[in-house]
This record gives sequence, C-alpha cells and structure tokens, in this order.
Amino acid sequence: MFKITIIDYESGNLYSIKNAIEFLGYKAEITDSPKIISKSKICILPGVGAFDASIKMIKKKKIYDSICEVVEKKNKILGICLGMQLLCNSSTENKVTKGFNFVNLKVDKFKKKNRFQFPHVGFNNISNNKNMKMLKSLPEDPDFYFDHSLRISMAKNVDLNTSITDYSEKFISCFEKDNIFGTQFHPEKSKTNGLKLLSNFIKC
Amino acid sequence: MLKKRLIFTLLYCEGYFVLSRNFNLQKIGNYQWLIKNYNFNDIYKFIDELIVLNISRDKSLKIFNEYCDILKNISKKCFFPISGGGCVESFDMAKKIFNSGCEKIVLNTNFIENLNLVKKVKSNYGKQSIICSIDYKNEKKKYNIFHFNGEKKYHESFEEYIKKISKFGVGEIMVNSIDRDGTGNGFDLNILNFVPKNFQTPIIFSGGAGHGSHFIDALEDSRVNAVSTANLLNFIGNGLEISRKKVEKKIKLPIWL
Repeated sequence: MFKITIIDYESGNLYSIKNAIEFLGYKAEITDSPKIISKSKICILPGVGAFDASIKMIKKKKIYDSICEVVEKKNKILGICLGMQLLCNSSTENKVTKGFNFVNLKVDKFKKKNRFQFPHVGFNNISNNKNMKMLKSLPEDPDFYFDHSLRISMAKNVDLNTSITDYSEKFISCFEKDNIFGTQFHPEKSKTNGLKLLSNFIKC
Repeated sequence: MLKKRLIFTLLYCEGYFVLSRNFNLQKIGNYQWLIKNYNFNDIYKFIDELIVLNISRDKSLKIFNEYCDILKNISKKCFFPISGGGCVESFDMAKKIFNSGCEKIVLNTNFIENLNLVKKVKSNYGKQSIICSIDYKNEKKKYNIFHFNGEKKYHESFEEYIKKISKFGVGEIMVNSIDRDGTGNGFDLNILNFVPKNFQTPIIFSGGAGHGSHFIDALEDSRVNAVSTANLLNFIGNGLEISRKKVEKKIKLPIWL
C-alpha cells in the first residue's frame, strides 16, 4: 500500500497528522529525505512557526526542489496552516518573503479590529464550496480548529476554489487547485470534520 | 463565528492523575485506570480541547519521559487540540512536548524565571503555540500572582502582569484561581474586573467549575474564549455530557458531524 509523506522541516506537530492518517487506516511516513518527497504520490506540508524561518529551513534541508517536483508531477500536496501559506506567493510575516507561488495568493496580518482577539484561535466555521473535493459530504458550514495570526487575503480573478471564514474580516480558509490543496485550519485537530476532510483529500 | 470551547485539564503527577484542591493533590489513578474507570475515551466526545499538565515534584528525566509517553498515547486517539506543559526547564523539553502530539505548550514559572526560554519557544513555534498560565490568590482584596506550583509570590499585581504578558504576545492566557481550585464553587468572575475591556489576548478561565452553569457564567463574558475544569470527580459518568448540553443552550460551541 502507498504511504502518505509528511514533510519534516522541524516545524510543529507532525505526529498528530501521522496519528490522524493512521487512524484512517493509511500508512504515513515523516521524512526530510529529498528523494522520498520528490517521489511521493500524496504529500502533506505541515507548519507551525514563522514563514521566513520555515522557507529558510526548507531550503537548508534541500527539499525545496523536491516539493516543486511533487507539484510538477501532478501528485497531490496538502498544506496545513503555515504549510498552506507557504504554497502561496508571499507573506509579510516578520519581513516580506517569497513562498512556493503554486497559487497566486498573498499572506498578510489581520487588519485588527477592536472587538476581536488575536491570534484567531478556536473552532470557527468555513463556507462549504460544493466544487471542492476536500469538503465533500461535510455540512454547509463545518467547524474547524484555527490557530493563526496571519491570513490569506481575499483575491479576485484567481483561478481556484476557495472556502471563506469570517473573523474580523473575510479570509480564505481553504483552497483547492487541481493537485494543490491548502487548509488554514488544522484538520488533524478538528475531530470528525477534520478526519472526513483528510479522508476526502487522500481518496480524491 | 468563532465558537467558545470547553477544555478538560488532566493533572499528571509522578505516574498518577491527581485531583487538586487549592493546590493540594490527591491521587486518582494511572493512565490505564483512568481509561477504564472514567471511561475517558467517552469524555473526549464532550470536550473541545485537552490540557495535560505535568505537576510532578520529581523533576527527573524518567518522570518527564513517562509524561511524554502519556501525551503520545492520548494523541493517538484524540483529534482535537492538546496542550502540554508544567516543569518545562529547557528548550529540549519543550520540543519533546511538541513532538509528543501537542501543538500548544502551557508555560507559567518560565515567564518569571526564564523568559529567554519562552522567547526561544516563541521564535521556533510561534506565539500562537504558547498558553501563559497565571495562578493567583485573593489576599486582602488584592490579587497576587504565584508561580512554582503556587509556592512563590510574584511582586507584580495581576493587572500589571496580564497587560505585560499580552504585550509580550502569547496565544492564550489561562487564569487560574488558587482559592477556587478544585472547590466546585464556581469561577472567580471578579478577576475580570482586573482585565482591560477589549483585552486582545484570548482568555481561558480555570479554577472552581462544579457544573454546567458555572461554565456559562464565564463564557458569557466576551473576553473569555474558553473554560477549563480539572475536576474529575464532578464530571465523571455523564457529567460532562449534561454540562455541555446545558452550555449549548446559551453559548455557541463547535458542532461535530
């Protein structure tokens, strides 16, 4: 049986993702091997921490090109939280840093509003988008676990499917473009909704 | 809309889970015992988040490793946020907690005694990964802060301290009343008078919950993002299920498939 590759660049909580995948009955491998990553059919790019430091670490571990290879070969990749942001064009976290630019979206700080607390932490709902394979058979506005201080701003004329979440402003909470998937929230920490999403991603 | 959360806190002390009352500890049972006698896997259904604190007085590596093994075991079956912490003395220990299935770490004494460690965790894992826990006591109508398992008094007032922590930047602040801890008499809502209106950091309320309506009392305040109980005895059997249903009538909690 194929293995699902969890990319290890010393960022955050890889084991929860591995546990969730194994719970669904699949095999998962946490690795930083460029060779294994470039050959994998299904990849997950996790992420907790800062954007600039993470890109630096990915380059240091020489897995930047392997991740690009996964996308070029049309194999599936799912970016979670910061992992999703890394798939975008750029981020203004700490300083402006370029991402993988697989999708033409930008990451920026929330425009703070008084009534809201930051980071955006806890369970919030997303708008389901019927065109998204990941969200198949989930409710209209399922709850997922978020924990982040930066968000992907809404974009016009971008060729991808998105779901929206509203917290002080509307932002992109999850996207899909062919073989490229991203969730701002943590499916591995979102109980049954998250397990359903992960299973949809693996099967689609 | 962002939902509020019910958190359960497990207190781990040298091989056992314990009950705490005003910070005095009483052994309940080990992990296997908890799973068997408290039907713990069922409790997971009625909470949104779990905090597992290591409050062992024995600071040996053996105890710490056992604690991390328990975190690993729990995270194999638990697909919601898990935070660990307590007795974190080095960055390697913090790293091990994150590598045991936690995405957040609870730090308390380090904010006072070893801020460099907090800064290192923050730069590596981001501020959203840090819960600053504050234990306090009401002494002669003044709220004083205690660290080192509630043993050492800190000179800053609660009001100054909480503002300082928020400015420093953390994911959440957990306020825990030592006076109410384990009593089941309800949260110390008075402490909210010392938290600025429009406070920007999410607050977790802890210490004193005995039943569902206590959760509601705290969650009705916009500054309170989550409530926590560590009271195994008050919420065994279907206690949590009943409490959750009660809360759901007044407060928006996450809904599961």
